[in-house]
Amino acid sequence: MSTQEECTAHPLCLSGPLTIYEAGEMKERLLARHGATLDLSGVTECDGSGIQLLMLIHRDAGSRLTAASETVAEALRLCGLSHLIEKQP
Amino acid sequence: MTLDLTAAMQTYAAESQELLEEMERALLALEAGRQDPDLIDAIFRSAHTIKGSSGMFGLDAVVAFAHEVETLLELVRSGQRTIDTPLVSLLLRCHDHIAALVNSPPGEDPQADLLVQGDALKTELQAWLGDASDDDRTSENVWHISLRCGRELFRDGMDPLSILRYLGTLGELINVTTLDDALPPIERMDPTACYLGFEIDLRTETDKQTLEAAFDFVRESSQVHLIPPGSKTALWAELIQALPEGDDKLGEILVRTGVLTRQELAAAMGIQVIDSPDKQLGEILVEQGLAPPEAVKAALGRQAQARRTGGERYVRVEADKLDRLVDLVGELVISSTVTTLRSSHSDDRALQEAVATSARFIEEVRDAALGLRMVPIGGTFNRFQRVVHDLSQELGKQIDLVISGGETELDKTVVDRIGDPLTHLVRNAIDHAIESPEERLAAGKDPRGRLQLNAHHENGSILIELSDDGRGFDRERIASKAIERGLIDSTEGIPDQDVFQLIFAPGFSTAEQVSNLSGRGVGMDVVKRTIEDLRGTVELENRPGQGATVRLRMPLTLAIIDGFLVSVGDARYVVPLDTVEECMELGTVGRRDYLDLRGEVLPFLRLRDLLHDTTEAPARQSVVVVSYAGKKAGLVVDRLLGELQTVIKPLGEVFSALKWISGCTVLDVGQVGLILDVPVLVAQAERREVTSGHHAAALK
Repeated sequence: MSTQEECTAHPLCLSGPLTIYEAGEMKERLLARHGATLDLSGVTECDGSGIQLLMLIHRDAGSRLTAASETVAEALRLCGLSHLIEKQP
Repeated sequence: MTLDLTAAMQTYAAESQELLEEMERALLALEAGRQDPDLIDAIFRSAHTIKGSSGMFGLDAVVAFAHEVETLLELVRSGQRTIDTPLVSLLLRCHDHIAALVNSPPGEDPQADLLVQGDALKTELQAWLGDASDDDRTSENVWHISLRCGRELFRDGMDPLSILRYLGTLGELINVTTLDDALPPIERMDPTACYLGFEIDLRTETDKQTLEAAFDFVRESSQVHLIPPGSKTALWAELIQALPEGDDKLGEILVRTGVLTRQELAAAMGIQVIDSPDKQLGEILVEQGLAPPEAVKAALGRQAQARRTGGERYVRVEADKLDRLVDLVGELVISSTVTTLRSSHSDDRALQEAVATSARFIEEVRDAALGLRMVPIGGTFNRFQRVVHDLSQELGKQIDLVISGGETELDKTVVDRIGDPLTHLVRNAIDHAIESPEERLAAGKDPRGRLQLNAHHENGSILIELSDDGRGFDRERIASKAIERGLIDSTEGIPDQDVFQLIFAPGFSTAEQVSNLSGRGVGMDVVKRTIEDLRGTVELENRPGQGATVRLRMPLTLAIIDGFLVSVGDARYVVPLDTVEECMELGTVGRRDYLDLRGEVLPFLRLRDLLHDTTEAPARQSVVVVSYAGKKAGLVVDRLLGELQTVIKPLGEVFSALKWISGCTVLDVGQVGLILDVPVLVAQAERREVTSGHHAAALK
């Protein structure tokens, strides 16, 4: 088990689809790593529920969203939420 | 997915009803000469909300018509049209038309004559609109779309992103703002529910239909607003009113709906801070020409609404559920009575105390549960403003309606069912009692007639009074009519009160000229029957030449009464406690059926005789002195068993011949107790007194 500090230090890499089918499980995972920076480069699919989850985790847990894959970036752009993604240094 | 539309339709009907009532009240207040912009706003809001909710049910006829009304009201609101009597009268007719449309059976198209009527009204509305309705569209082909997703959206297999993508194919998405206002805190958020809201600006050449089609699959569960290019500010104002976001800052709302840019808002905020700290943001926005006054007003209204709803919240509950609760509480009260009784036989002090405590709470629960069913009668009263307005105009009379005691609460069932009889009484008073202005002047009265509706509590019942200052009841006229109709042979020796009661006899009518309002002789008997079905009574008070008062005495509640338990032979009876005056020993009276109550003649009834109970009467019998509507009577019983609380259960049809029983109840030992109908018994005792007629003399 990693400590809280390590969690925030090492980004949580999400991979695979981020849709309504994963939403329940994904919320638990994100809650477990409260405040962790998210690496979204491995996300292959993203629907409204995924966007909603990202908005929530960004707003309430203060998670930073980074390295959006093309599909995540497109979805966020569509919603006018591109500003949620932080540019990698 | 199937939606349960019937439940939703019921809510819609109830809400529309309330809105229509509000609209009518405001219109009548305007007609009475009140100059208040709030009234216009109230009318506008009603029309607008009805339009909105009708749209959700696809009631296109309502939407189309309400829209016309709204457009005209918009002109009035913005001061381009002044409101006067002909306009109010037109709007009242529009109100009626909307009501007719709303009330027409769901799922069917409105009837042809309704549509014809609607078209006629629309033409009139158009005439009022005149040239002011010219659109000055500065169209850039940019549509604004507000979407608030329904919670079920994802679970129904829909995705708002797909809608956005589809919109993208119809034109250019200039601006999309995703709102997370409805998104709850992380702990309470259900990841499979959809909380998102979108504000979308779309530049497109397509027509409204195509755009609307994009939302076909989500329309049922979500809120969708389309604002066409170059729309007047009124539409924006509407949008702000309709959006669900709560306590938002005014500026924020304006930015979101695109009326203002954030820069303009920031500029306005800056001015506010530096130059005029006392001024409201809204005023400044208008002053600086940054926002149209209507939009600011709407946003302010929205904020006020958000604050208000925080204060008083209502939950709409199905009446059946409420009845079930009251029923169960009733059973609880009974079983609590049993427990209290049993525990009083036990030596366990702690148990007795515990039982007493729980009995006290049960009593409170009972009061609270019954309180749920209590509604103020004011709503019913206010409906009569319209009745009075319409009828007096039709008959060329001038009549004011004065309402007092509207806050008096009584059982919902009573309120619901008393409306029709009251309407009839009001119509009757306007038609028959109050004279024409000429007649009134000739009689030396104010040409304006006066009707008074009043409600208040009086020992355990509600008194509803309708007074007029008309000509009063005409004993001779009523009598001759009654004789003509064969209701009585002669009026010799019949007291006034009984003569007047004849107007409640079936088939009685004194109107010399049958008008289309009343005077057909149907109704007054129905009025009386309805009131009696509700365990109430009707009294008449006559002031010849000066008017009359009709008093309806109604029970507070229909479900539970405090009773006084008595027994005759093996049977037990319940006397409603609020009618009991005192109890006394019968003493020796021989075969007389009256006794001396501190110098007063008190007629009494032997329940034993009424019941044809042939068992031997005990040596000492008791008298329960009951009173109703100012008259007293005694009931002779075997034993007095004390007070109890009890739930009234209606008796079956089989027992309808038992006039003096109003219901029954289950007693603690599982025995059935009959509830005595005191009004009937008092009347019967009184009749006996009159027919035998020699009591007073005998007493002396």
